[in-house]
Order: sequence, then C-alpha cells, then structure tokens
Amino acid sequence: MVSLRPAYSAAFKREVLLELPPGLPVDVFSPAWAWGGSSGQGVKVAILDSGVDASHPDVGPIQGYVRIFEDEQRKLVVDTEPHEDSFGHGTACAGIIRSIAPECEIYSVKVLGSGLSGSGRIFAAGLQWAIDNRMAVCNLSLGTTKRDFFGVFHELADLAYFKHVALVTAANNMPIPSFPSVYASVMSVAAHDAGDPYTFYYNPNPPVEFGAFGIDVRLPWLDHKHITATGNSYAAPHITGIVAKILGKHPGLTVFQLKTLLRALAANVKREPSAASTG
Amino acid sequence: MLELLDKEGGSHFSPEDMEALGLFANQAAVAIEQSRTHGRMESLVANFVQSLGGIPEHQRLTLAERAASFASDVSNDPQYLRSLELARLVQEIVAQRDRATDACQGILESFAAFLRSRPATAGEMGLSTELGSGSW
Repeated sequence: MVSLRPAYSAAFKREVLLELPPGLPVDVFSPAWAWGGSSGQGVKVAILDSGVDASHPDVGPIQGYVRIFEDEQRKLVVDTEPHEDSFGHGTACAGIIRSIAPECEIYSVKVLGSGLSGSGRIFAAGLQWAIDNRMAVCNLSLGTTKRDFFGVFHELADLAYFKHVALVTAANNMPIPSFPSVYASVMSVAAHDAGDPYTFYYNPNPPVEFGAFGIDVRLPWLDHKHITATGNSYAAPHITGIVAKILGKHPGLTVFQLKTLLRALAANVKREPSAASTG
Repeated sequence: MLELLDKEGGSHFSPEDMEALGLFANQAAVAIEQSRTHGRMESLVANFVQSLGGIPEHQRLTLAERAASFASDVSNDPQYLRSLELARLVQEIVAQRDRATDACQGILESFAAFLRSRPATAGEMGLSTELGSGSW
C-alpha cells in the first residue's frame, strides 16, 4: 500500500471528503440514466500517450494510430501506421478505458517516444490532431510544466471546449501545476484509493475537479503483463471511460453538460430530491 | 522559514515562491559569509552598530546593548540555527547555477527520482525535461 499520495489527490482522501449539496434539481440524473446499457459504442476516444499495445488481451484492436514526430529538418510529421507502446503507460490507460467502455473507438495518438521523451510541440500537435479529427474525448495522462507552453495549451483547451471535445487530464503527481490540467475548461483528475472504478468524487476546491480510482490499480502493461501502480495518470482514464459511456448513450453533450452530470453523480454529492421537484 | 517540499493542501510552487527562494538564498549567502568572517553573531551585529555614523554616542551604546542581547538569543535559537543550515544547503545549490529557479528544479527532480525509485511508484511515468518537472 503506497504511503505517499500523488500531488493534488489529498482532497479525495476519505477522511477529508466533503459531502456537497446538489445545487441544482438534478435528481433525474442517475447512473442508470447517464450510462446504463451503454458500452461507449461509436464514441471516438483519443489517448495521447506513449502508444497502445493492441495485442494486450485487456485492450484488443484499436481503431486508429497517429504518431507525431520531428524529422531531420525539425518539421512535424504525422504517421498513421500502427505503432507500439514505448513504455506501457498508454496501454495501461487504454486497458482502463476499455474495461469501462468496451466498444468505444480508441485512437492512439503517440506523442511520447522511447525513453519517455516528449516535447511540448509534439504534445500540442497531437492535441490539435485530436480536435481537428473530431474526437469526442481525449485522455491526457500527461502534461507540461513549462511556462512557455502555457498559452499554446490554453488556446487548444479553449478550442476543444468550444468544439465539444472533452479533455480529461491527469494532474501532475508532483505538486507543480501542469498544463493543460490546471485550466478551467478541462476535466482534471487526481487519484483516490476507494477501489471501485465507477466511484468518482467532485472537489469543490479546484484546480483538480474530480477524483477517480488511481492508487494501487491493477493495470495492463508491456509484454502482455499486468502491474499494480499508483498515479493520477491511472485516475484520468477512469473518467475518460465513464465519459465515453455517457456519450455513447447521450451523444453531443457539451463539456459543461458533462461536468454538471459528473458533479451530480459524484459519490460525495447528495442526491436526494430537491424541494422544487417534490409534490 | 524556508519550506521546501512540504506544502499542505496540494498547492504548488508559484513563480513567487521560486523568487522568494532565490532571494532568500542570496541573502542567506551574504549572512553566511559575514558570520564566517566574524565568527560570532554578536560581533557581527556589534560591528554593524559601530559602523552606524551620525547618531549620538549614548544612543549608539543603547543600541549596541540591545543588539548584543538579541544576537545571543538568536544564535541559540533552534529555529534560527535550522534556518541557517537550510540556507547553507540552498547556497550550495544556488552556487552551482545562476538562476534560483534552476536550483529549485534540481531539488524537485531529485525528489522525483527518489519517488520513482520506490517500488510502489515503479510503474509511473516520469517524463523527460522536455515537458518539464513532473510525473503523471
């Protein structure tokens, strides 16, 4: 059992979780209404990461591959041939998403190379690709702490928000703000240890708004293996999977509608009927 | 008081924090240098008071007494001694590079490397310095 929690996850510890009033008459929302019977079918999910190993039994075939890299002239190149996972991280995220929304359409947007190297420029290009190609939801279990990229990612996050592309981002495991996870327009996620993949919490004191299962999670990894690991990275795909399930049943919801729904269904938000709706 | 990696509530190092850390390091470096030169805090303060020109002698003597008793209190204060120790550490780090922000980054990256080396976090990803200081 890990004794050191990832940064930004303290708000989701059982002992400090706040129980919140619903705020709106949202009693019509229930898990059954939101995602009951949905497998995420037809929902395009981009995973911006180290690649995805589609041969892992927990993942299976995926619907698209996009690898972005710089050529010798430092120009950005997009390669759509199938690629591998350089590290296992992307496969872990894909496995979690598949376990919640088995029939969503997964696109591996490989922006991280071997040796875990990445560049802000390539990461931004991957996000631009996802927006341009009308992904419904993007899993960003990564970020950049470099202030130089603040504006670039802020613009992309706004663009995604207005085009109804949901960005689900993992907060940094270190207590350093990373972009785009601290922006208001994204769904930022940190880790809890409550075990249930469908249990998530709302944090009334952002910048990280949601808590999902991310501590001691059993994950698919490279070479068809499984590992147990901890990180905000593994909390984000739980929300991505749930969002994909919701959109499979209620396509076209805006980002703010999704956030309202997630808040209403959070395990720490009361769901009794409001006075206005009784009688 | 210098707080490094111990911020409560999941807060982060703002640019102001980094600047403060840098400023502290510079001031601490001066204090350390001077205290080495003078050996004891008391004589440091006494010398400072002596250097004040243009005030009446009796005022200067009162000031010197009060400064001396303050100095001896502070020199034995555990908080002060701890601050001094931390200041020496920061000075050592800052002396390696020009910018205080780089020094802080170095501290945080070392801590991140430590976290990564622990079995529970072996599966986490630590991204290269191209994306900055973090793991996700």
